Amino acid sequence: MTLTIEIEPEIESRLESEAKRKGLKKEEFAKIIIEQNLLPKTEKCQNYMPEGFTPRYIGKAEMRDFSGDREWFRENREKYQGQYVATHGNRLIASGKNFKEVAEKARKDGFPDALLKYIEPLDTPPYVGGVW
Amino acid sequence: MSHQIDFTVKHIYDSREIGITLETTLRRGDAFVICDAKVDTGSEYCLFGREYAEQLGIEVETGFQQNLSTLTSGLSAYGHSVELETLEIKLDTFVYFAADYSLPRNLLGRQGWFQLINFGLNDYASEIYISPQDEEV
Repeated sequence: MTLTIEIEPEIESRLESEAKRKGLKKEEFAKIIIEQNLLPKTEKCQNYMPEGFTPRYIGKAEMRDFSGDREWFRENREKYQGQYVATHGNRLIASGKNFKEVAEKARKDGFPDALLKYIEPLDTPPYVGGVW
Repeated sequence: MSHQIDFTVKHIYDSREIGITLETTLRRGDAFVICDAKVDTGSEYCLFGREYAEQLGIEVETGFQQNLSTLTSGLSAYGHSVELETLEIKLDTFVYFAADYSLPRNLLGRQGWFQLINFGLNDYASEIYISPQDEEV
């Protein structure tokens, strides 16, 4: 398909300069811009998961109220720093250095929906994030 | 020019925590585990500790292997399909689990999470606004 379009001189100028910066003709760069913007969304996801899997929203989650867990964490963070904790509401179910033991105790004690959390030491440097 | 996005959920997060932290449920079949995860627009993927995969009965090394970069180093991780719940939104999605133990933080990144939601942030007020995308991505 051949497409003829009218664009403003200012846009044409920007198209030319950006294409030149990338070592492309302006027609080639315009084609890339169109293709990238109209790429099927599924193709955007294929680089990180097996072919055929489509992530999707499946409904409203019924999560419990975590306000008590957060309150417990604020009050006890210093005491349990460097440990895994399992909390349920404003209540500590288990704690320790071994995640598996903490998780298993929470389940055994009847709290499979305990929040399992690692409490970072207070002197942990600020997080700057990102994996790619 | 102003723009408007409508959100279904508003959440106040604890600004005293390191990063923006959300309680997150991971499900696989009947198994589930609740952990916390950092909202991270700089992360291309969702990444969780190996320990959480094991709680779900997932054999980590059977997943979709990727080498991931961080600001200072790298790590190996394996992707698996899970159900992921945060702030009333349940997704059927794909997340990565670190090959090694003791990942200090779980991350909610672009692919697998941000791409499936609309997200608003007022960090000054510690407010998150969120709603599901209506369509598949």
